[in-house]
Amino acid sequence: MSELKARKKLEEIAVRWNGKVSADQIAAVFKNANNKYTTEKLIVIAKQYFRQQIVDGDKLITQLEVNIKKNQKTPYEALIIMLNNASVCQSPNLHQTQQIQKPTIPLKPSNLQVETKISSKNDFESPALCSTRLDINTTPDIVVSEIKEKLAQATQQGSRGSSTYLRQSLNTSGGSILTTAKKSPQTPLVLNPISTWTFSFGGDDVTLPFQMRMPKPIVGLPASEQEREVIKELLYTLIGVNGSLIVPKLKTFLFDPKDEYTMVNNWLENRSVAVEFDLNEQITDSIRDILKDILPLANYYFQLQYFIESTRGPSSGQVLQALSEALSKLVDDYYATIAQLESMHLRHELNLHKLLFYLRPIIQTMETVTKICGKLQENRYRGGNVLTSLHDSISLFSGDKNSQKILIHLTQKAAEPYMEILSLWVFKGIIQDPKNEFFVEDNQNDFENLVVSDAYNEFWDKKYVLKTEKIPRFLEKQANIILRTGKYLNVVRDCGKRLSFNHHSGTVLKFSHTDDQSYINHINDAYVYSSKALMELIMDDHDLMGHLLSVKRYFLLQQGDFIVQFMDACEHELMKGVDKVIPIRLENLLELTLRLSSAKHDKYQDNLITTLMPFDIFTQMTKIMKSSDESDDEFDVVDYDMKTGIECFSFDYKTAWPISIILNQMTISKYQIIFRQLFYLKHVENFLCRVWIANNNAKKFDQRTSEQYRSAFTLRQRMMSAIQNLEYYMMVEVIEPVWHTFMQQISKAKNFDDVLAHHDDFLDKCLKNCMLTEPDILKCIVKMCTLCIGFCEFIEKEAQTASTETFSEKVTKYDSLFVQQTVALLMKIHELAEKNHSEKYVSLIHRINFNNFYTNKLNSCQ
Amino acid sequence: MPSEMITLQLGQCGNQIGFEFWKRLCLEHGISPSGVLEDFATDGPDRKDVFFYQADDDHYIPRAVLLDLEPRVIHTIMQSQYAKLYNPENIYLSKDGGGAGNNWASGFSQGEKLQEEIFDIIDREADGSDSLEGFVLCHSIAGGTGSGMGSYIMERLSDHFPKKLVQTYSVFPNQDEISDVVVQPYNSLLTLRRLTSCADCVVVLDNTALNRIATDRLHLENPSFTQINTLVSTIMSVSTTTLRYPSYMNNNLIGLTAPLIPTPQLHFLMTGYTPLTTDTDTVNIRKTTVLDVMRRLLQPKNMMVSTGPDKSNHHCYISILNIIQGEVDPTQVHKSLQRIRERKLAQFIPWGPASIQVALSRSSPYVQSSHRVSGLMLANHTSICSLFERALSQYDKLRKRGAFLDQFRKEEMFKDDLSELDESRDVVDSLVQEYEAATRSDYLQWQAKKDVE
Repeated sequence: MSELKARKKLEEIAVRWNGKVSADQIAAVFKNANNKYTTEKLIVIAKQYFRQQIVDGDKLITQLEVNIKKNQKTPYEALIIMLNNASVCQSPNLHQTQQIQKPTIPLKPSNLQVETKISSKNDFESPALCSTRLDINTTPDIVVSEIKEKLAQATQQGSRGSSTYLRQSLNTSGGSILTTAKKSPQTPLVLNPISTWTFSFGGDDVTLPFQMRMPKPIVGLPASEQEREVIKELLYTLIGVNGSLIVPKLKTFLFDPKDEYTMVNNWLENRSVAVEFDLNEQITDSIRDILKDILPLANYYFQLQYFIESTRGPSSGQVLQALSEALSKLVDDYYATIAQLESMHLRHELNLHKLLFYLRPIIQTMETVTKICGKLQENRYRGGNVLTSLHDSISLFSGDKNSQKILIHLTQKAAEPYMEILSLWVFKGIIQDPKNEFFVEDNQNDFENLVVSDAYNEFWDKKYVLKTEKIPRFLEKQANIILRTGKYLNVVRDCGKRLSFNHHSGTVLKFSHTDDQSYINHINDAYVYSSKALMELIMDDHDLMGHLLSVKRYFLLQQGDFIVQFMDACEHELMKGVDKVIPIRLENLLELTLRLSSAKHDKYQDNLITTLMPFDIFTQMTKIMKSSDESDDEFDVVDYDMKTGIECFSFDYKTAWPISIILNQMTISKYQIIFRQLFYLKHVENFLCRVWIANNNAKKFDQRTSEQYRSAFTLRQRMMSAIQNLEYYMMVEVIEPVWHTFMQQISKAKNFDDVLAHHDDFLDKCLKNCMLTEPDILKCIVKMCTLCIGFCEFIEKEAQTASTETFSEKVTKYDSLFVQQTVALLMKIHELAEKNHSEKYVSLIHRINFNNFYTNKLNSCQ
Repeated sequence: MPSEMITLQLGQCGNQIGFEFWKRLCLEHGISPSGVLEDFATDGPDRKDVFFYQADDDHYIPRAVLLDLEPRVIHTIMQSQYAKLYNPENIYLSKDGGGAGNNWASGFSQGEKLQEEIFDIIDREADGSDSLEGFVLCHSIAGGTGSGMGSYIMERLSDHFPKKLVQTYSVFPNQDEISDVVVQPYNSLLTLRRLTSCADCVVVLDNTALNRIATDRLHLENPSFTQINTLVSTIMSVSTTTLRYPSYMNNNLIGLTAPLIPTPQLHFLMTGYTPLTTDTDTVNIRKTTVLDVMRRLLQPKNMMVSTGPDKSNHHCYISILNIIQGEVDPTQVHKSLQRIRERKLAQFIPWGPASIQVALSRSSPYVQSSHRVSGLMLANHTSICSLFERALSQYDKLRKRGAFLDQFRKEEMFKDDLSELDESRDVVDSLVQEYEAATRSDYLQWQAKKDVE
């Protein structure tokens, strides 16, 4: 029974070895123990097989040893006892090698023990360079120390004079050569085009020992020895050590041959390099053929190192530096492979064919990586572009699983600093991007010096900008959200509000190819948070709606009684020429009216101020329509002197950050346009009303007298009707419904950009439907108003004197003028309505022409 | 400095409807019967100062002057819980308390005698307001005090305050029942003359129609004065909502009335209100829309004036203002107007542009209405002249017989001759003619013809 159980466990363990050994084989080893292996050897074997596969491996193996030596059990019995006591580790691969994805199907040459890289170390952060890694029958510890030694030797031999950088780091970096590169980004090297990692070109370097310069005579050696010599040299060549049989030759290509400056000054950054090899004529053709297959690897190694060196400096930017670091890890892995091969070579277990066999997958991967690096270099990509390029290459190489794995790893590594920048932006709203790699750009400086309220016109759109060309592909879809997230947070922070988004404050986003969702989810979370925070800030803390309601009250004349009172108070002042109006008096009157009217309950009443515009409503409208920077000289102050105060008068609204983002000069200006139009109409209406009440004296007249005035009265009434209908239309049919929709939209709006967009939409709709965007119609309306005012003034003067012929003549003249203009206006509106297919405008025509008075008039005229 | 209105309540009827009006205003503004603002109403968006002012102790006092020649109604008011609301200095009761005996001439001459005291009060009130906009007069045209003294005060007001608006809420007598005031036709005619030539705007409250509405539409067997007056106070309060709850338009009385009155004489307005319900009848059958309300307002049965059947079907609207209250989607207004226009639901004058103006008004948050949407129509309609025609014919009947003229001859004004009556008849007659003329397109060229007898 116990034997069966043990057997099962053994099989389980054998499976772990991926079929390299079978349970039978292991069992056989122990059964035949007496004949073949010493106890010590068995223990070593047992250690190799079981130590990492079973729980408490060391203890159990010691027990096994005791059983065999002291208790005189046969090794097989001891094995069974041990296995019965043991329990197999759950996932032995994982606890040893966390970062390494498990290679899938290993190659299994019949006569060689090729091992998957389970024994490899944490030292290797990157995935294996190729899907196979050699294991030379020794424990990994030995391998690494051996490699160190070998490398140290090699570099000592190969480099000029003294071993510099690589060896130093070998000696100082805690016993692992593989950590050397970690330091490199922080310690920028003064780059020498030829440094330790690479070949020394030009054979006449006298610092080299003589025998290194002279090709070793190998012709006389037997074929197998010749091969050994070549392999030895080849292995050196593969790690950039000059040989005598295989002589490296440097080739450089300028990216842009005509650019002389870069030729001279930026040796590294502006040319691609390659290395070719001259083979000594002693080398036989058969070896030569194999060498031709292997030597490109040396070139790839060279180019890769070259890339690493050239991107190591701070000028390359964080992404390239990170990539450079990741690549140098990869190179470490490559060193280890070569070292393993060398150790095989020393044990006489290697020939060229085997070598080629082992290297082939590596060659492929290295080629891929080198090619991509070449592309990055050639296009001088940095930042986001590097990531885009890497990211694209991942899917490009989806056929080559191993290369793809490495590319994913490289992308992840290269993306790390970028994602850090991103995290900071998305979680804190801070840009820390010393190398200008991030795709959100801060134009802070342009805004710091501007006068407060002016600055916010463009603040929202221009302070932070998306640089589309810098967006890494995998963030393209989120780019807008990312921009907003930080922007929102910024505003919130600017207002001195604490960000309570601690949930993610420590998190750093990580790029991952396979499970795309995690960082996207984080970004989305942050976006949701930030838009909520800003909405709360703007809506609750700063009471945007309160401000908008205030603005609506004053600029859109909703607080009608206030407007009436204010108009009564300042009409006298405003009827003067604009140059005679005293602004301070207006200001005082406004203050007084605000305090006395029902507006006194409005907490934002102090924000309201008066202003006299130096241009009329057309000019202001034209400015807005162009909404731009063209010079205004052509409009300014054209007939400023001839204007009355009322034509130039407008309110203004002071806003403070952050409300000024939404109520900036541009939007206020739009409100002003509406206000000026409405205020002017109101003024005309008011005047007509005054005339009306004065005319009411006529009720005492007898019928005969009043008949003479009747045409004047009815004309006044027609004017009143037209003006009031215009007002009604603008207020009740345009502003109020659009406001209604706006309110509904606002209540649903989730982020501030929506609010901004809805608000702009609201204003634009108001302007458009109030026909303020149509200069023709606007002119018509103003003309009509002027006519009304002229008529009122005429009546006020004339009504006191007795009625004469000229009076009724004049009335008739006014009458026909007014009809003419109203009809013209109606026609224009009609045209506009047809052009825009809009119901809205038609309703205005119907309002003014409700009982078809003007239609009939027109018909009767014709 | 809002556009204040001073209310003058004259005679029995005037004080009764005035009393109901103030009751209603207090309710809407959250003012207690003693004039103290209720806690829930402290920061309302309404304007109380149009009709009230605040005393030193901050309590609200109506800008109202109560005048009567006999004490009954005013005593009732002073014994009600609203007694403390009014400024006692503004209550003027004739010292002899004998009343005007339902005689216009008596009322008129007593007004003349008491004018100094009365205008002291009015001047004081006017001085107390920052920018007085005008006067609202509540009275009936049939009695003695309201009609006679009212007439006198109207004449004086338009001289005294030429730039101020004089608006009246004038109650016309019920034609369906035989009045106990035999000289009612004389009274009416004489008052009508003043209403024509001294008032800027007359809101006609026709007791005939009010009673009919109460019995037919509200199913009240014998409508009491209070019930009728509730109707009146509703009309009065709604027609002033745009002043008291200001919004885009119609925030002063001139802005409200000027567009309704194209020529000075044509200033008699009808009112209509919907929905008309009593407390017991609150179940709504369906959702009320703006169109429903506007359509119903155009139906004669909802009008507070009984104009009689328009046989020749030539009468038309000179102007209409609808004040709509309640939950109204502003977009519905345009659609409703469009529908009314397309279906030609309203006939308009041919000699000028005329349309239905719509004022969307907020209503008091403190008064619960069972109706989603309600509407008041202020209309200038030519058929109002049938009311004056009726008054004329009744006058003619009486005058032909020379009946009851003795009471008039007693007064100074009619001592020598009765020319005042004849002149008044002429004025009212030409008013009727003018309204008739306003239905025709040649109204602008029209001239009044003197009756040649």
